[in-house]
Amino acid sequence: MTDRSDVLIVGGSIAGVRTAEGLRRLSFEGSITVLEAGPDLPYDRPALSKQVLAGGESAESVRLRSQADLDKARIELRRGCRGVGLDVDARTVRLDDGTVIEYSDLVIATGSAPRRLPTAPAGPGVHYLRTVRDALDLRDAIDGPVRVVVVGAGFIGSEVAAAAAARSASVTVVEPYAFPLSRVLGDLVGKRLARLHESKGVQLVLGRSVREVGDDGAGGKRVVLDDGTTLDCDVVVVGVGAIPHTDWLAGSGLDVADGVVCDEFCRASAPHVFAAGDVARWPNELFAESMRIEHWTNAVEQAGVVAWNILHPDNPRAYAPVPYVWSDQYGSRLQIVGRPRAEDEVRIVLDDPAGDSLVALYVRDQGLVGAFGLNAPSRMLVLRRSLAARASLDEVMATFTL
Amino acid sequence: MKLFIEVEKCCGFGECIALAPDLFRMGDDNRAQLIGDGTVDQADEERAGTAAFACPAEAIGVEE
Repeated sequence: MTDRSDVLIVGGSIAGVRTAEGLRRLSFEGSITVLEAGPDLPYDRPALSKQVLAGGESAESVRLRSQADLDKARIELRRGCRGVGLDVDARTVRLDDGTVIEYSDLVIATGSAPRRLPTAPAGPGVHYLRTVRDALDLRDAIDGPVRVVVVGAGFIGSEVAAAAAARSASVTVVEPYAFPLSRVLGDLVGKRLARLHESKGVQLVLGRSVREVGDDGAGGKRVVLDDGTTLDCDVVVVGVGAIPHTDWLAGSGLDVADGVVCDEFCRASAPHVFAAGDVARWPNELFAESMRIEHWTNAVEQAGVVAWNILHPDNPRAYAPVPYVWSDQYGSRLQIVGRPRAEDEVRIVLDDPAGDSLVALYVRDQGLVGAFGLNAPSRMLVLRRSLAARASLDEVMATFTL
Repeated sequence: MKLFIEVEKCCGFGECIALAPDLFRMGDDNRAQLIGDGTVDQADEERAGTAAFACPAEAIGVEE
């Protein structure tokens, strides 16, 4: 069976749905089909590790669009539909049920999946977090005085740890780096984040990795670390990054290298193929760097540019955003703007223990490249704008000495 | 066109302020506020719509 859609979007999370809506906002009248592998209408993914785990919000409350919203925008969302093959010459996508869909323009928005630890396959007592189902299962598992071991002190791991601690679980976080987020933010900021965890009674095991996850012989799990330490617990949660969903593109001839490789206009290596969201890798001119970003706001912004570029092939817009991500942990808001790296010069420009706020600038080659903020959203907004405007370091520093 | 902010949804991302600093500002509570009563001149409608659409928290509504 062969179907046809003027624009075909593979992936029905925020990047895919936003691209579809963006096309309608730009007055596109053609047909739009969105293929979603999962069973759900689009939902608010950042809320899964935040409001859903910590605040107990329902699956309904994180839904972003109703069927009626999609109908009104004339977006055909096919759920439970997985793309399994792409033919860029015939301009067709093959689905797992054998259906073939022809397109005029294709948007790859297949997102990413949690990186799996070979030593900790998902199963009873071992959780990964990506979908709304995952979040509800995990919430049930960490409710009450259970022992939780979180593997990875990145954003997901830290948010899970905070939520579990707030639900009166006893929590241990295992992190291979010296401090939480120190791989990206360096030790100075990492140390501060370690204090945030420890102030809420969460134990950190730093500089250690997991050798094995097994059973403790008493109905629970046993996590064995690389130094032989054992941690017995009821629940293991693994948050060690994500891998872009590109398997289905094998054999398509499309250039794939840790994401779908695009140009600055988010165009993949074949005509009429675009990518948006977690799965897209593209050169960001603002930072002179090839990027693939797994943040919600990136998916939203990139989708808008892709929609424009589909409709304006002769006048495309380069996608050059300031990356931005936030995390809510232990009642604090963490924000990162730009592209900080651990090896950058770190300048602490605001440190207010009373307000529990901190702002750190990341400086490379005499220029501002990124910033970290703890409970300082107004400051971070200004810094984000400074980065977008390529403001000089002197100008930026001046705003902190007023 | 008229804009409104669902304050309880706003997380202070500042997307709207970055895109339309003449229509939105950051309040002392670190949430976005409208400058004025939210009424948008016809000439600014597209920009206002873009700023509303860009909100990652989907906290900005538009009345046509």
